[in-house]
This record gives sequence, structure tokens and C-alpha cells, in this order.
Amino acid sequence: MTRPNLTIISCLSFFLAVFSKVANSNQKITEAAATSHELNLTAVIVFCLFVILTLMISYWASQYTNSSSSFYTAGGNITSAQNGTAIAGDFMSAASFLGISGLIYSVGFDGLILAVGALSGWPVMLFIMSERVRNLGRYTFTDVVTYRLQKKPIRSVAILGSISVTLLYLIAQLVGAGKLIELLFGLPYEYAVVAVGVLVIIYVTLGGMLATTWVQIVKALLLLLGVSLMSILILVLSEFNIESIFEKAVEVHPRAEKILQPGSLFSDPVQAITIGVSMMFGLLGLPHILMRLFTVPNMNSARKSIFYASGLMGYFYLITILIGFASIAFVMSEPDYFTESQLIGGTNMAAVHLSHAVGGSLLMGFISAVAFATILAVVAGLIVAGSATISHDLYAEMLCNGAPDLEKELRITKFSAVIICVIGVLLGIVFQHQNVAFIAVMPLVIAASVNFPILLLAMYWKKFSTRGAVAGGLVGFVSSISLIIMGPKVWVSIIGASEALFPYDYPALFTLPAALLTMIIVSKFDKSESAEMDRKAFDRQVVAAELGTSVSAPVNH
Amino acid sequence: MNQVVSGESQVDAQIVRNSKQFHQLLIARNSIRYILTTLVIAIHGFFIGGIAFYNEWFGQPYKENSIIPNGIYFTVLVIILMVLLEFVYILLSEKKIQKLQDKVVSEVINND
Repeated sequence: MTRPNLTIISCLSFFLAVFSKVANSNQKITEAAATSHELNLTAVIVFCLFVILTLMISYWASQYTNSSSSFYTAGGNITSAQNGTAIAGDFMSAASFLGISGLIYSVGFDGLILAVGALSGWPVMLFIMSERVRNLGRYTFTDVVTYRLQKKPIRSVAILGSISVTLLYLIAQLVGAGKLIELLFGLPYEYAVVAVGVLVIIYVTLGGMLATTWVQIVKALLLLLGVSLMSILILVLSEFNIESIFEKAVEVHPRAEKILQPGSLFSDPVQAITIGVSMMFGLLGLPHILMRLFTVPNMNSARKSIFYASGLMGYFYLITILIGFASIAFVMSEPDYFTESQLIGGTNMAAVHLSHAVGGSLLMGFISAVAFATILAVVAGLIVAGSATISHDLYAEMLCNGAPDLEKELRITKFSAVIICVIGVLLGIVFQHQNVAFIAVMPLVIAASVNFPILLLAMYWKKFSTRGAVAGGLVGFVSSISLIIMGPKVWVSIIGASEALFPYDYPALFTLPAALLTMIIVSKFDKSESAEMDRKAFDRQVVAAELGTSVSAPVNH
Repeated sequence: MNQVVSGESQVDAQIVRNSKQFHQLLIARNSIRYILTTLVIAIHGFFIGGIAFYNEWFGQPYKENSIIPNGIYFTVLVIILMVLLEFVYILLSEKKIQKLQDKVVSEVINND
């Protein structure tokens, strides 16, 4: 029997064992889940079907994943429609679906700021990033910035930004996954996190980006199907009168008509602005999203991928608005969903309870399974991006000066995928009792303050130099981490101080300009020989960036 | 086409860079890019700025006998506008920019 077969069979046995343990052990079911609904058989069935289907995809993809190129970018053979759906899948995470609808449920209108913020970066990604990034890079966004800048110094900073964003995003996803699965399936936290880790290791090590892409596609379609079903049922139950949903929401919510106007959550205008900046520009520096631009054959496909992704996400966020307000109208007045005056599972579960309210256990089971599948797929994408950073950026480009042993590189890629996943799982278990909200903030702020400005100036500003990029990148990195630690989420909620040293949770409004200014000033004053070489190569880079010519000839310093 | 930059010839890339056709392509594509990016940032800025400084307007009903406020319609409009602007970019890229790009390839690169 071949190795992929054995791995898949072992994995299936593991999951059957886990689920039979769950099914036979009511004591293990968390108190909240037990209070709300019995272990949902539909959820288990849908999830098992998803696991079987995605493992089959991984087995199929393993036959095509025999080189670094196929591992990192599926050989660049993904179509724009497939890639667009996968990108949408990457971004329509459990945080988007459960988080935004939960936020609308608790505070009303202010939750929409996150929906618009999440979408607003995509047009900018299409206009100024997609084509040039696709044409200048091969596997990671770091390739783009090293096209004309000095490889070693700039890769060190880019790797720092890339790895920290990936790991922090991964920990936030895994902790969220553990909590969500604990509630939805009654699976103990540690089992849940390990189960996610094992599955993702199989997807990634067997099928690389090809398997990850298809897992994302399946999950994105399931999620869109689920939310579409929910919205249809909401409209049918409200007799297609959206006005009545809002009237009921105002009637039952303790904040009454205040839920229809901004200011509940973000009373300070600067807070609203800095969140908008973090979300918009953070997206433009997320390594696992940028990496998807390399999975298509050319710049036209990259462009269309982003458009398809935005179309799907636009539809998704429009539905999320309806789901958010409908969850107030349908769930808030039903005592079955509450225990000790609190919504079972917290406000993030509002959409899941709504699915039960409008579609019964069947729809709730489906939505729960899709939420789990969502986390699996997002974690898989992050692992691919993280392993590419280590094996391609660090090993192949920095340690082997761009001439690695290809077989060894592929082995290192798979090994680093396992290591990153194991580290993520261990940290996910360590952080399980912590408030991880700040971990979820950090990746976006670091991506907006380190990766995005380096990428933007490297592609568009001729006078940009390596020294400017390194200095600005470090300023962005240090300032974003320092200000997050000094902010309310860490300084007050975790450290326990009475007042935060810095008043905002998302400091990108300050750290992004600081990084950009440092880059501009240092580059302006940089008269070194290497800076001149950086600038001389700009015209050549522009030609490659605009025409989609070969990317195999970056400038060697 | 790969010869433009795949070889060691910096001169070839410089010829393309200095050509009138490439200049036209760059101006056209960058104009569209910068105008649309400015529009998106302005729309997002109006949305966030409106929420930050004019939140009462966002909370007012859009019309009489309705409870749905301006803010909800504005949010829906912003989401639709974002996708529409992307559609405009795709359309312009395929109908106009691609022709300019083909012209660079046929008149500058192939002739060279």
C-alpha cells in the first residue's frame, strides 16, 4: 500500500476513534453544549463527509505534488475562477462569519464596520497589487521585494514579518477552533486542536497548495450554500419583509433603536479610523493571501481571481448583515438559547443559534460542520504560506543563494509544514485559557506596518533602497508590537493595569505611517553604491511587472 | 517575449522602457489604478469618517414609516460600489489596456 493511502487510512481511523469517543462520552460534552443541544448527528455526518472528501482530494493532489513549484503554487495551474473561490474561502473565515454576525448581534450597526473594512482592501489589492505581484514573484511575496533590492537583508525583514503574521494568525485560528469545536461537537479542547492539526498536516504534506486550494473551494461553496439557505429561510419566515426583521430586532434588543446607529462599540472616532486602516492595509500584506496570486498562470488570471473573490465576499458580507440583525430578531427573544441570561457559547454563536431557529437541528448541524471546515481550510492555507517562507525564502534563497537541492527543498518544505503545525497546536493548547483577542489583532497590524509598505514602495517608488526597506520594516514591526502591548487589550485585560499606556487596540493608523516615513527618509538619504544599484534596476523591474515577462531574472547584487 | 528580461541584456529592457508604446501603456494603466484606488479609499474614508463624525445621520431612517436607517443602505451601497469599481477595472484592463500591452509586444519587443 502506498504512503498516501496508509496516511489517509490512519487518519480516518483516528477521526472515527475521536468521534466514537465523543458519541459515547456525554461527560466530555461541555456544559454549554449539553445545555443547548445534544451532540448534533447532522453536524458529525456533514463534517465526516467533508473530511472524507478532502482526504480524497489530498490523495488525488499528492500525485501532482512532486516539486517545490507544485507544492507552493500548484504549479501555477489553478484557473482564475478556482483561485477566486479559494481566495474568498481563505478570507471568509470563522472570524468573518461568526465574529461579524456576533458583533452585530451584541452591538448592532458597529459590527458593519468590520464587514466593510474586510472588503475594502480587495479593490486596492486588485488595482495596485495583483498584477505586479504576480509578475514579479514566484512563490512568496518576498520574491517580489527582492526582485531589485538586496536579497539577504530584505529577506530577513520580510521573513520576520511573514513568519510572525503567519504564526500569530495560526494561533488565533487554532484557539478559536478549539473553543468552537468544543462547543459545537462536545469534543474536548485538546482533542479538537490536535484533530485540526493532524488533518491539516495531511492536507498540506500530501497535496500542498493544490489540495489546500481545493479544500478551500469545497469549504467556500459549502459556506456560501449554508448562509444562502439561512438567508432564504429568514426571508421566508419574515414574509420577505426586511423592515419587520429590523423592527423586531429593535423591539427585543436591550439597546433598542441604538443598535441602528454607530457609536456603541467605537465611541472614539480615532478608534474607528484606525480599525479601518488596519483592516484595509493589513489585508494587502497577508502572506497566505498574496501567495495565492502565484497559483494562476498569468497576470490576467490573477486580476480575475481577485475580482471573483471580491464578488463572492461582497455577497457573503451582504448576507452577514441580514444574518446579524436576524439573529437579534429570532434568537434574542428565545429563552432556549440562553443560560443564566447569557447566550449559550457567547455572542459568537449567534449565527449558529439562528441557524437552529430558522432551520432546526438539520441546518444547525450543517452550519456547525461548515464552521469547523472553515477553520481547517484557513489553517491549511496558513501552513502552506509558513512552510514556503522557511523552505523557499530562508533555505533556498538565503542559505543556498537561490540554488538549492530541489529534492531537499521539497523535503524541508514538508518538514517545516509539520513543525509549524506542531508549534501552532502546542501554542494553541498553551494559550487556551488566555484572552487571545490581541493575537488576532497582531497579524493584521504587523502585515499593514511591515509587509505592505515594503511591497508597495518596492514596486512603485524608484528611489526606494534596501536600507530604507530594512529600517522602515523594523520600525513597523517594533512599533506595532509595542503599541499593541501598551494598548487596552494587553495592558489592561491581560497585564491587569488600571489604564492602558496607548489608547487604541489597532495601532496601524500610527505604525503604518511611521514605517512608510522611515522608509522614505532613509531611502532619500541613502547615497550608497548598493542604493544606486537598487534604483538602476527599477526600470527593468517595471518592464517585467507590467508585461508579465520572465520573473527568473531578478537583479543580483 | 521572455528575452526582454530573462537574459542578461539590460539594454533590451531599457529599450522597452523608453519606447513610446510602453510609456503609453504605463500612463494608461497607472492612471486607472490611481484613480480607482483613490475612489476606493475616498469611499471607505467617507464611510469610516461618517461613522466617526456624523453617526446621527447614519442612524436616521432613510424614509418616513421605515425603521431601516441610512447607515444600512450606505453600507450596502459601499459594498456594491467596491465590487462595481473592480468590475470597471477588469473591463478597462481587458478592453483598453490589453490592446496597449499587445501593441508593446508586437511593435517593440517582436520588432526588436
